[in-house]
Amino acid sequence: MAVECKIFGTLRLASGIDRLLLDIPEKSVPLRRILEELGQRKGLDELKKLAQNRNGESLPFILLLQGKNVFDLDGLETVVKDGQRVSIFPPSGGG
Amino acid sequence: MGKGCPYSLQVAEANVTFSRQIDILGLDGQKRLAHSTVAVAGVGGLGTVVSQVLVRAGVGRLILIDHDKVELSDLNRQILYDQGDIGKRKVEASSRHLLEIRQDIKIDIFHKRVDSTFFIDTEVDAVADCLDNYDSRFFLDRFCEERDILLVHAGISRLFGQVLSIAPGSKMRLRDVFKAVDGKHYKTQALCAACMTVGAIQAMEIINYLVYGAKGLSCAKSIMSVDLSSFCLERIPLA
Repeated sequence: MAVECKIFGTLRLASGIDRLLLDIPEKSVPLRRILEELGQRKGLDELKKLAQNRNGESLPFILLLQGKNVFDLDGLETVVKDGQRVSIFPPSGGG
Repeated sequence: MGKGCPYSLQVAEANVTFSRQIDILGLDGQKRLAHSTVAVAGVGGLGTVVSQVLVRAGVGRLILIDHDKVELSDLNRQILYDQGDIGKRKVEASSRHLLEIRQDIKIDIFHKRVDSTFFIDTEVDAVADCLDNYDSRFFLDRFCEERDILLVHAGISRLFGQVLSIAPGSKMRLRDVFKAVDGKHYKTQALCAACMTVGAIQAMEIINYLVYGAKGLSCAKSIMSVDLSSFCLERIPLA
């Protein structure tokens, strides 16, 4: 299956990646697996650590699946399917 | 607009102050701004830009909310302050500088934190979230939800920022979009140029709403991501 991953902010700056089409053999995988895959890229290693987070912990990134915060779904266990889009966005907290 | 605003602009076409923008906003639009009240929560890097843009645009009344005092380390980006303001309350210093731009504007100040007890007993048309932590932002979100007021959120970090509008009556709230984010205070690195860019977009979103209503909003239903490392403005769609 193919999953479109959009990367924003400091992650984009560190990795040089703004958009990535991940090709995964399975028909569906948990979001955690997507993060592990992305985390292997240079500059995205923070996502590998993120993939080890337990659900319910606060995160340094907003994770959107099809525009919906995954914490309104099943967190890092949310099932990602073919053709879906994951957006990873470090929220800017300063004012 | 202007439910609780006591201020009314003198005949706008005669007002030289707005003569270089009246063709853009129209006389009716200028009058709507004059009869509008905007609350700016946080008068730091973003809030000093937002409040100044709104004053120069012709908003009739501002409510400034901040619990902090001006420090030397604020002067790199908080455009309303200067050396003489160090140690002074931000709401008082910003109010004084804004009144130097336009004496006819009404400004109310609240030297307080935005927390679970936050309340202001004033009719407000729009609220600018220029705070520096998500715990306070979520309290502000609840306040706007209960009062059915537009909330225009913005955040800044290094060379990046984001703007998101939560329209009155919206079921999607700020706390839904930013769920699971660490709510603590951010003492972030930030350049003045980033604060001015993001703050200007935030202020323009409010101006468009005050002049044109909800149809004027550009940052509802998607996060406007601002990237000054590549001069990229990009929407992140929300469902």
